[in-house]
Amino acid sequence: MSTLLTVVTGALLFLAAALALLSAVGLMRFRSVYARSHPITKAITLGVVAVCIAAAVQVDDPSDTAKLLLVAGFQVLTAPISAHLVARAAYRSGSAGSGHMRVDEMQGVEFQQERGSAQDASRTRGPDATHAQPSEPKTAGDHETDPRRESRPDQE
Amino acid sequence: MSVVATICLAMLAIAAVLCTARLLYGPTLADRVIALDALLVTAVIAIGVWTATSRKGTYVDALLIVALVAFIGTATVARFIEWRKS
Repeated sequence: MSTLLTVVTGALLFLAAALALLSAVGLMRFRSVYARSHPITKAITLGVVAVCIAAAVQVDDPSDTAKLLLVAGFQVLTAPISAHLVARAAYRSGSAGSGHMRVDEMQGVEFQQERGSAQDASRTRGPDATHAQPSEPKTAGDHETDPRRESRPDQE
Repeated sequence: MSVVATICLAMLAIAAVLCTARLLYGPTLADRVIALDALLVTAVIAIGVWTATSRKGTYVDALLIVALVAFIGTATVARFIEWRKS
């Protein structure tokens, strides 16, 4: 039983290290922010879960086992949130570049500025306040002059 | 088990070097944030490998805190990138 447990633990540790290495290789080789966030979100999360299960089996103290399982669950919960936040910030700031993006489904969508116009929007909040926000025409103007949107019909 | 630990830690060292390279060469701030997140998660995996091979629970608290700091730092800098535009 102990030998089997040792073998399973070693296999899980090797899986976790291999996934971390492959994620780092993907982080170096992929070409846009959106592609680079994929291995960091999925592969390395599986690596963390594998290494936490392996360590939770091996440690003696039950409180350490609980903490390791807590880390695994926490990583599963927070990895999609952080990846979504980074991808959304990269798209909205417009500095990420299109990379190899073929279809831009967010084209023409006007973003509601949450933090930037918070001082203006907090005063005029109400049912008719959406027409009076001063930052919306500027945002729409930025999107019309964005060069990556003009190159879209060539790729279809 | 010690052979497995050596191999795993060597692979994690290579992964950390690659993440650091992306952290230095990343064209945008979002690339650097993703690379820093990957570096901290690699550190989490390294501490987990040490915990599983030595069977000691000394650094389990550090593992939990590094995982928390990775998420909070990534979320904070993502909000900063969004805020900086306007």
